[in-house]
Amino acid sequence: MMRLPKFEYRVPRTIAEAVKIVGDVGPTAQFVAGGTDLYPNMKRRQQTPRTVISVMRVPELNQITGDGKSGVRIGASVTLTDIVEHPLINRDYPVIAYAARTISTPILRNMGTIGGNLLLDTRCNYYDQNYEWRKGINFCLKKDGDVCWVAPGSSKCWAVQSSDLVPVMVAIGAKFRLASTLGERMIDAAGFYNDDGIDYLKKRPDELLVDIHLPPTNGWRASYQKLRRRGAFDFPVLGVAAYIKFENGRANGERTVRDAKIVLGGIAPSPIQIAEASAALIGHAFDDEYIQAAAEAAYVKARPLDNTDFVMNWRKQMARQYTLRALRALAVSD
Amino acid sequence: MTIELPCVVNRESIVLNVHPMARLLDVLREQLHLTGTKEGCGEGECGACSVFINGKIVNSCLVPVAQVEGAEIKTIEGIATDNQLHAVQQAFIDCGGAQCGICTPGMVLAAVDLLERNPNPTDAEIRTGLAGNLCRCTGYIKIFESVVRACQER
Amino acid sequence: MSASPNHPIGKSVPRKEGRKKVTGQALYVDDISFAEMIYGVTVRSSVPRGRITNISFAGDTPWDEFTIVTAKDIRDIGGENYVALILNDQPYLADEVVNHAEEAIVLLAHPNKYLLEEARRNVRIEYEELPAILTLEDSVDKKEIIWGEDNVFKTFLVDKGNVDEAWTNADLIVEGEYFTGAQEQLYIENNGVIAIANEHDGVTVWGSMQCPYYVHKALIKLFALPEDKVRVIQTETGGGFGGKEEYPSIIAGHAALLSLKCGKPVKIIYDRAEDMVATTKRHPSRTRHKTAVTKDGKLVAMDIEFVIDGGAYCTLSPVVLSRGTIHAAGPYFSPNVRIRSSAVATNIPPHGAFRGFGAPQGIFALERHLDKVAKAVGLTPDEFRRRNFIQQGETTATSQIIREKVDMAGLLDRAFELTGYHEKRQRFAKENEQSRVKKGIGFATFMHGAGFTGSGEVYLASVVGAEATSEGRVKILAASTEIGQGTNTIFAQIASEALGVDSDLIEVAQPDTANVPNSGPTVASRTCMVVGKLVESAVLALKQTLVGSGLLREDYSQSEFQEACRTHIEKFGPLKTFSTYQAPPNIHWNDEKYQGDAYGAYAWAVYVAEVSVDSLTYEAQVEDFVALQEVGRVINPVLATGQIEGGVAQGIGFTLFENVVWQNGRMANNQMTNYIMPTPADIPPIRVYFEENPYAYGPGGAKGIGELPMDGPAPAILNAIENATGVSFDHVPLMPEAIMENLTNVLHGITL
Repeated sequence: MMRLPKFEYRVPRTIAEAVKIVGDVGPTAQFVAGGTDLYPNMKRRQQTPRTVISVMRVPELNQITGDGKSGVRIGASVTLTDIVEHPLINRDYPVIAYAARTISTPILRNMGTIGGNLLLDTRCNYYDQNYEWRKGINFCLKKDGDVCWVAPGSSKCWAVQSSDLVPVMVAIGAKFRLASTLGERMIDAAGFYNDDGIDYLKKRPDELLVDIHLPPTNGWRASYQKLRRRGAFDFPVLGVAAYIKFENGRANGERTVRDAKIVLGGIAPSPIQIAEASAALIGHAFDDEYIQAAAEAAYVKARPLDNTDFVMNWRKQMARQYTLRALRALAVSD
Repeated sequence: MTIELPCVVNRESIVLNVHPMARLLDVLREQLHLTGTKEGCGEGECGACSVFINGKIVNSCLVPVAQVEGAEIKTIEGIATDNQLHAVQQAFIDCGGAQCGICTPGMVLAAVDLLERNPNPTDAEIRTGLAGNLCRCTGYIKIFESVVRACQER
Repeated sequence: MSASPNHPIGKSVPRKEGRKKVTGQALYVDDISFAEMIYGVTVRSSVPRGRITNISFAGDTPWDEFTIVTAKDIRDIGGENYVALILNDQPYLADEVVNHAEEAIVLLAHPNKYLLEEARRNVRIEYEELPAILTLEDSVDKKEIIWGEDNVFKTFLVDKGNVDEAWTNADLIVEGEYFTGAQEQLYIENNGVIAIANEHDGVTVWGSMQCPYYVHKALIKLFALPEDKVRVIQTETGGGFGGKEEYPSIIAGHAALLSLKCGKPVKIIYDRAEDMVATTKRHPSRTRHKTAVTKDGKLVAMDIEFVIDGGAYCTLSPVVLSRGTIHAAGPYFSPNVRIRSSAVATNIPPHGAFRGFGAPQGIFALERHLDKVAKAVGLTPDEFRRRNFIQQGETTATSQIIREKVDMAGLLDRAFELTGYHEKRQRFAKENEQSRVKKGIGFATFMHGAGFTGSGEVYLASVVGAEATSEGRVKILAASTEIGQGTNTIFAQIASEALGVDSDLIEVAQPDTANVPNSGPTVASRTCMVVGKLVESAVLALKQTLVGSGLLREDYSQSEFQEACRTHIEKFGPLKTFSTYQAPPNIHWNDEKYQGDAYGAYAWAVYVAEVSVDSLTYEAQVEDFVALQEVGRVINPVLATGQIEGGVAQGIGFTLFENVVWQNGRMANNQMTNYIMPTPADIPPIRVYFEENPYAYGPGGAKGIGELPMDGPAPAILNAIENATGVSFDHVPLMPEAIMENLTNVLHGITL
């Protein structure tokens, strides 16, 4: 019997129309694509927009263009199923197809979109509850309350970034295009997320995520490893994206790592880039000694909190193992 | 406030008079009396409310009806044609794929969807293909067998 | 003998209501509506224990449009504010005090579901909080007395031989302590009812339920009405597993209270989160074992202490405790057995019936413990059990002599053959040395009694009717419900076999207390064995009536049978026969001493699990599962196999996935997102085998099977995990976190 509260539903057909509506209505308006995140949250009164603007009928948001040579643009409303099944994405960006495939279930991937996943509301055991339950704890900092129950002394909300695609986008250096009535801007995925469970995006409420620009596939490779309890449904309680680019040519028969990134998702309000892991890998041969050092760095920097499924210590331990897996996956496909 | 909203439900063109923000699930069940589509969780987690919209299987508990303007919707009631059960439905009867029956409509649709996209799925593909639908009675084994049987019968 | 060659018993006759279910035509309670019907919701406590100091109706809700019911309304109608069951301690609506979070306090009804949900948010309840007991341990330690004089709902003592004197005869004494957690039934159809109540007609309720007569009994008290003014009708029910055994009495009472007050039909359907937080779950348990054995591995004495957490009110805890107690010593012979058990109170929402009903908890402890004892005595787990399996003519813990043929060793042999147990045991030991993923294989051997415990069936005195129609069809009249397990189909098979007519000629009446006799609750693996036997005798009585009246010869065809029915009805009016339960001969039970024939029959089983444990991620996975059982005669192989597979899957969930997270007495993971029930992607192959050994007093030789598959998975899987890792775990659910904690030491050095 969980029903949606009353709201106004708008269906613009162009980007200009969409951003105009949100500009006119103001902060009580919110964009929606597949609705798989927003609607359950609205039912539980975690999010309470009064105007909901569907962007599913804006054709420009629904396209995949380009190729691996020049880079690919994915419209924000492209469904996760379309990404999972897209031949070009599978060929040139298998890490994106793979990460998308680990999201939720086949049915929800038919509805959920890439944009929705990249903007996914942060999650927390104290927040992702129905109204009655949250009322019983006097609510929490993220919505309607004063205290963060995860860290009661904290002035900051610790709800967790729980998207599978976010760490991958950060690792490969994707860019997002945002539009508003004031114009457009591009922003790096790496700079798009704030380490704050409430104010977790650099996107202003009046901005629409238009598309995602994947960089050309000029020799880099990337992988993603997801920790979850079940083979379907579950949000990541840890996601590790690994990115590697080698120097041209070989030294002593070995290829040297020119660039490397390890990005952890699912353990903090924002994706966590492990600079020490990059440092451990860059300039060295891609062999197990340095891979282990990188994994150790990820372990040290991973500080999950006790606000999703699984206890913290185990998730922290797994940061090492999953970083190893993610990096080794890149080694074998040499 | 209601709107007029044309769509096709189980091959029949209709015009709905609905609140745009009503859930498709409620409109199907309460207004069209298509109660074969069930509500198990209301948040897209169990798959009992599965329907096809324009050939794609979705959770109707997460669809505001305004979203289906002009769309073609198919529910469990539209799966059998002229009293002739779909091969998947027959297989569910023969193989014991239905027990309490509450997940069955969604599970049948998920199986139909799977076989339309992949007529000869492997065991692993069946498992991942049905992974959006929960069943508490069968332990899924008889459901997997039903899908295999339906492949053989088609 | 009948002329028809019809012998449906043993055949996989398709599910009787299968077509309705696969086409979406089956009508569950939420699919039904009545003219003028409005909707109800429940306002619940948010604290585990406290005094209600104020209730206010705030906000911009148009309260005058709402029907509002509180405990005062029950007083006003002269009803009893308790859910009639065993101790009658649970109120329908909390009055002055609340004893658990999510306890119902106020009921609201309104035609508009949207307004209703907003209104629920605007009810403000203030409390003076009282200290609460939130764990079994704290209750046992009496940190606070929250129920009665000692927090104890019920205790049992089973005492066979003399345990205290036996210790001196032992070569070895082995002790252990084991825990199991709560588990949510998670039927996919939430609890729901529709009620119509008024002063003239009384109360009528339609709903999703297992036991219409439980609801009937409870409503009679709540409304102070005579039996014939309360009518309860079961609608198609989307799973129960015990979760709809006692709870529907509450939601039915709530809807009926609202309906009586507003004069309209009222529907209450819980949403998923409400169903998860507010309704019953499996009792958490703690079991302590102290076992004496000889050096050649014979059991000398078993001393068992079994405690279950009943939650805030008694509900069915004494009965759950009873079954758990009796099953705690398993299918073994020991000359001395003492089982001391208790059900204690906590300020958690009441725990209740869940498939297995206490037995899975006790069997988990025992089957883990026996692996430990075997090790201590220097025997393999199977050899140790072989030396102690109960044999025909020996006595159980309650001194019940096993009269039927039993061959646990034979079952074990076959199970090992089916799984390649010995070969795998050797191979895994070798391979594990080199491998990151450790493999293991383990098993559990157990029994499960069918039907009510002890004199329960005699007290119930269940009745089943058979009614002939003028078209020559036979209608089975029973209150036993179809909840997915196949009641309709097997009743039709049993009747068809007994009468020698097509099973299509058999109809099973919708359970409706106005039309069917009380065949008892649909619980305790009793529907097939106990009620099915009554179906058989009721239709045989019908046949005898026809034969006795001279309208039917002994040797008849189907059309002659139909003709005889028609003529009989024309001549003498309606033709109905009834059959009442009679205990099989030589069944004796002493309720005082808890000794005697606890169950008419037991199913016997060996379950084998093969697992893998990743030594880097500490994740345990079941790779293969074999369930072999002797359940008498199998009436319908497809349905029976489906029951076992489903139970095993639930058991795997109980063991490795389903962890109820409590926060201040409230379930925190109350969604399907975070209460982790297995999905299609998480289930291993489950291979089901039957050994058939017809039981003389079951219909066609059948015994009960419904609960059995819940008993074996947890111990078999943890025994396999010990085989894989060398580490013994003593609790379920067993999460990777716990495996990590215990494994890091053992596997240190090879974790990277």
